[in-house]
Amino acid sequence: MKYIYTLITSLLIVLQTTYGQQNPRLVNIAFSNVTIGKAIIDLQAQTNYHFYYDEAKLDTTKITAQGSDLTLSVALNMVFKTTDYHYTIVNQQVFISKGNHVIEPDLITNITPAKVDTKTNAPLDYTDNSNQPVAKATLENKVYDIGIKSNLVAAGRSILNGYIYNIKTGEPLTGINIGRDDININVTTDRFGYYAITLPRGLNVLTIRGIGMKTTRRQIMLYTDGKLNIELQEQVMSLKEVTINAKAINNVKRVEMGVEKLDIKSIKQVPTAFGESDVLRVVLTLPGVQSVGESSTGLNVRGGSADQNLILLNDATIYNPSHFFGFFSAFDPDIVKDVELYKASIPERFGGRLSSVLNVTNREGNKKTYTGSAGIGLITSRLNIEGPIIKDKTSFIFGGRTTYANWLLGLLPKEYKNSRASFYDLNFDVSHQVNEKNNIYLSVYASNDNFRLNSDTTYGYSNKNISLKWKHVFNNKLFGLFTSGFDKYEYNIASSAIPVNAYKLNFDINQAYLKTDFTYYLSPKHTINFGASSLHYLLHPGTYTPNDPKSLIVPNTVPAEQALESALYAGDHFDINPDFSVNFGIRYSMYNYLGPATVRNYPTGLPKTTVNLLDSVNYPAGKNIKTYHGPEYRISTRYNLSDDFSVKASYNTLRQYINLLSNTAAIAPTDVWKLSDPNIKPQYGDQLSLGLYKNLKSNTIELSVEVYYKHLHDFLDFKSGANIILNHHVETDVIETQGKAYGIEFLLKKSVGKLNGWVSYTYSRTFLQANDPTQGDIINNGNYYPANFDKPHAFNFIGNFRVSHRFNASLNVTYSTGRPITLPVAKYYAVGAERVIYSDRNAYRIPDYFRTDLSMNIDGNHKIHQRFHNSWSIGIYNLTARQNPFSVYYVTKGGTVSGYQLSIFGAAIPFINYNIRF
Amino acid sequence: MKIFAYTVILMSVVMLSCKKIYTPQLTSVSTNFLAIDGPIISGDSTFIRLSRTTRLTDTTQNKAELKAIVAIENDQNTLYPLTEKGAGLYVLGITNFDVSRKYRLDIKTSNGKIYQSDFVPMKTTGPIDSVYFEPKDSNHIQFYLDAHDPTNKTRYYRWDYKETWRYTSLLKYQFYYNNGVVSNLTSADPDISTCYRTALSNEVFVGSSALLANDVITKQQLGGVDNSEKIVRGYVLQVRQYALTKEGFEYYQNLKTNTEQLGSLFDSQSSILKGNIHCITNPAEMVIGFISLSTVTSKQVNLSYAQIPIRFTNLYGTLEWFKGHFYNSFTPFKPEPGNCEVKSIPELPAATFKTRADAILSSGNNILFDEDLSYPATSYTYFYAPKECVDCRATGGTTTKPSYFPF
Repeated sequence: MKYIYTLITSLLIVLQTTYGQQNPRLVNIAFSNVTIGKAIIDLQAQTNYHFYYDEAKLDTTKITAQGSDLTLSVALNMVFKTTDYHYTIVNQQVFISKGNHVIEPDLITNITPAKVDTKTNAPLDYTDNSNQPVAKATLENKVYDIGIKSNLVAAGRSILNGYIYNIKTGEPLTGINIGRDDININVTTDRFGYYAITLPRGLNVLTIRGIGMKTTRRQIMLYTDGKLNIELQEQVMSLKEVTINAKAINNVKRVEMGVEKLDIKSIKQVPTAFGESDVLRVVLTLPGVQSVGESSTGLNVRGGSADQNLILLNDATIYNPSHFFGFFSAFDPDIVKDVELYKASIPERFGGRLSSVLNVTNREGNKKTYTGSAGIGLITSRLNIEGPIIKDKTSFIFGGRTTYANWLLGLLPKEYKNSRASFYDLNFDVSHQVNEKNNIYLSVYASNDNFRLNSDTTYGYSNKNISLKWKHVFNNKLFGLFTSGFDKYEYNIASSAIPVNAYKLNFDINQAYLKTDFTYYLSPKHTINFGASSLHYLLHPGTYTPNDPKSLIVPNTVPAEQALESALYAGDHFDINPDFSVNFGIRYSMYNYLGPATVRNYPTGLPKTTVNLLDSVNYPAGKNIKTYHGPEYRISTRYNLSDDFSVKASYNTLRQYINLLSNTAAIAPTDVWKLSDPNIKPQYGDQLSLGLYKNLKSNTIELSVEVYYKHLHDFLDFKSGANIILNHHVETDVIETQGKAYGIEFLLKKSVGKLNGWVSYTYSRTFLQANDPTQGDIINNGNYYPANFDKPHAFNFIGNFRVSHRFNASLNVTYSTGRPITLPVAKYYAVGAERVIYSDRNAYRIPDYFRTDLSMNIDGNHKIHQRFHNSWSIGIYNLTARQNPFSVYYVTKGGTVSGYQLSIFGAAIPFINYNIRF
Repeated sequence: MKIFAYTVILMSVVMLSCKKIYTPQLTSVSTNFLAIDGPIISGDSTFIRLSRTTRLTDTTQNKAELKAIVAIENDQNTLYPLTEKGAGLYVLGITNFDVSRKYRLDIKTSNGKIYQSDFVPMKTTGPIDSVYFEPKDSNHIQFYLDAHDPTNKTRYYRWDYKETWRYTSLLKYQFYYNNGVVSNLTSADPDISTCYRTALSNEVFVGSSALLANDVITKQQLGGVDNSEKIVRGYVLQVRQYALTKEGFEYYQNLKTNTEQLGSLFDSQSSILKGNIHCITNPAEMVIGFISLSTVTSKQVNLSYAQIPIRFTNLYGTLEWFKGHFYNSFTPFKPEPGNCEVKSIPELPAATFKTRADAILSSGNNILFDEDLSYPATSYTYFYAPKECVDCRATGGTTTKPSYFPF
């Protein structure tokens, strides 16, 4: 019956009756840029056939065709060949239809001409005229003409591009797959919701899919390059999830490997301590990601140290992504859209860190209406407001969190009763669409932590970031991003309890950057990325000043350091054939350590010590003191063994010019960053990975295995008893170590359905080595020793079960080998007490870690039009109340030595959270 | 430096944390390294302690290194030999060292190995200005120290101290038993109810004024004293101050970090302590210790119970069951029932008294200390109690009052 329907709605028929001969007659055609109407009239004149069509609906398509002594059907084939007109010949009647709805001959007899509706709208003509707004394609059964129309659609391909938006909020949608399943051409929208796809000219039926969005189709008639913006509807509830994401961009098809992407929805389902949704805590459950313990959000990705991760929030580098000394991460879950972690194939546009890129992206504000949300939890309360500034063009989003964690301190022994802790973070983002070709994004972020102990010493640290980004579409094939911004991280410690000793210590990093990124869709087989970036560092490694008029503190300033880190990159995504693709990228980075500075020279081949100091040289401001540079290769390749099974390999090299000096297992907020200089070489690393990817059950289940082997060079470690703070010659206290890491990661992920989540198991090892006698200290006799975060076995289960529309439960199970620890080898007697001595580093391990968390999310009713939507989240962290040790240590107290184990969350911790959306 | 104090405070962040005794399975390596402890002191006696490292599981606290030959040597080869005092202690009597010379320690152990420290300068120690206390909380008194060196030369400091306190046994010793005869105690008899005890500090205390314009130490934290028997009947703290070199300061600072300041969220990587003593015969051998040389200055602070703003609560209430007996007022520790259970020996029948008394008292574990006169003479009894409840020496004190004890 649906053909009837299509006939009377989208197909257009006018009845014209003519009587003629029964026998088929041959026709001659010689059309040169004639309209389709003329062509039809001409053909009708040559035959005795009745042509049924709607004259008003014939568009301006020009026909060019020649031939003689043709049967009518051959002639019609030639005329309509590259158009989306179809014909059906039944009993000397020719029915001409438009779109891909071919009229079945046996249906024709059922048509009563009088009932044919001729009022259906004609398709709009969308051309590549950028002065006209690009209309949004919202109807599935409408055919959109793209480009400059002509019936003679030249063979070959053209490019279709545009944006995909959420129809409700106007927010650009990232990661939406668009393409033709039948010929295996699919692309995904980028982080701006932008896509560009090369398609064969002519009629294309595009399928558009995305997680959480209703799958839809668009029919386009592609004449030449053109634009099409698409709005998608959200999938309201996914209880009866049957969507088959046959072509959703998935692990199997992606060329990159070692990329994990989490959207905020799955992050929010994972239970955490105190019920505070925590981006970094969830990242920590991914295979290949470790941390030294529960109190630390410092990520150790595939054997890298915590400072080797480039943590970006809307392009801004976040140097300290944690609150409360590492208990909570500093990203607001109400603002964050998604998180991408690159641990193997790091795109060439990123650089500057050795192990991974963690790219956190905030949502864009709602472009249609004002909305917001608020939440109350045990630790923080949150508020988020967003809305249009100019409807459909400009929107803002604001999010803020603040803590009232002081009550926690009330649980402490009473000597801490005057202690205070507070933190906040603020996000403010604006996105503005200037026109079809230009978009501007402003992003502002600030986070701040303060802690005071007994009104004595105060500790504070903060991140401040601002970035401005301009996206410009040059043409269908080329678009560019121009980003500029400023990042600041600082901390301070102050004490004024004893006026004579009152001091203030400040540290800060300032970086200003400018970068351009271009994407060029060279051909269907090649997508080229290229760009350049420049980053200026200004560090104040330590400024120690009096904090009281009576203070006798002598101001002590470690001279500022400055450097310029620049890079040029280019990369090609090359689809050699539908099954075999290669990403080849190269990034050439250059680092200039700049004056003013005093550089100390040490003799080569001798340890850098103050005793061995040769001389020191003063360089004036702006002088290029030392240059380090070199290429970084980023290569990955994928071969499809079958439609749902692929193998990938990648090789990466990276360089890092800024180093974190940390003498503690967990990153402390008072750790100092140090730029590479003539005495401290940049870190260098490379990684080779191989992976197998298999999807099951129509891509609803992803399986993957990845193996990697990695080298780390010139990673900084400390000499025994090193001093970091206010050290004017850090090079005398550090040693350059070499490292190697390898591992295998198994992941099973189910992202849709009533039951979703992932299970991962990782076997990984990380070893370091300090065996160069010219560096001074030799650790563990120069043998490889396990790094602090070397936890060979790690198992994670993250599961969410959707019981009903309003109720779902999440379970989280984590197991890992205990981290390595240095324990004493012997004791002796000195300074009135037993004392211990340490020998081999990290020769022991703390007991294994095991934890189970449970949470339940209860939503209020789902009436779409109510003013407020509320939800509760309740749960228990560490359900089994296992006392997982954070550390094991020996300490001298009262003259004797005893061993202890310290657990951080040594009890089951219930939590409750209330959220409201408006 | 206070900068490092955050490691300590962050322990407090561990709001739901818990700490418990843990004994990991350690491989049992036998190390037997030589450890040398004790500064060389100019103007006072020098005590150098030689010991050997032991396994963590060993119960020996101090495995003394005996029969070594120890001497201090200056840079002009003048030797100051130390004499062995037993238990690994080697002593040099009061000696003044020359501030313009450098000195080192030479050791030859009984197994023939030779150890030598680096040459160290002789540093003059500035004076201690004052030692004072503040109540830290209702149960603890904290001692502090102020010092300054007008010559600005001390800069790096180390302190240790000796505590002396008077205390009494729980039960007053008023009668004594000797060979079947109970006698009233006279003033000529030794009083074993009042004792004096000393203890040496067992923490590393170091401080520095290196970051200040003047060589001033303000409110340096020393040890503390808990609400205990120590503070009830007089307490004396004698603090000694030593000057250190920068290297010496860093050594002791690291020793403190490595052995006392662990258990926070941000523990430093435990590291090997590098001292300034080397094994000459086997340079690869690990030697533990740091030799420094300085003069010493000291300060004594006397503390009577009246000065202390904190008070024991329920002091007498717990003593109800002693009703009718003598006990020492202000007895600070809580007597636990059974711990100081008072039992009696009836005087009659007199013929068997000696036998009965000897059976109880001759071992020395019980002491007769009082008589009960609250009954008719026919039912007189004598009281006895375990030794540690009567004889204060049983808990380690001496009845001899030290000359410096003011109370």
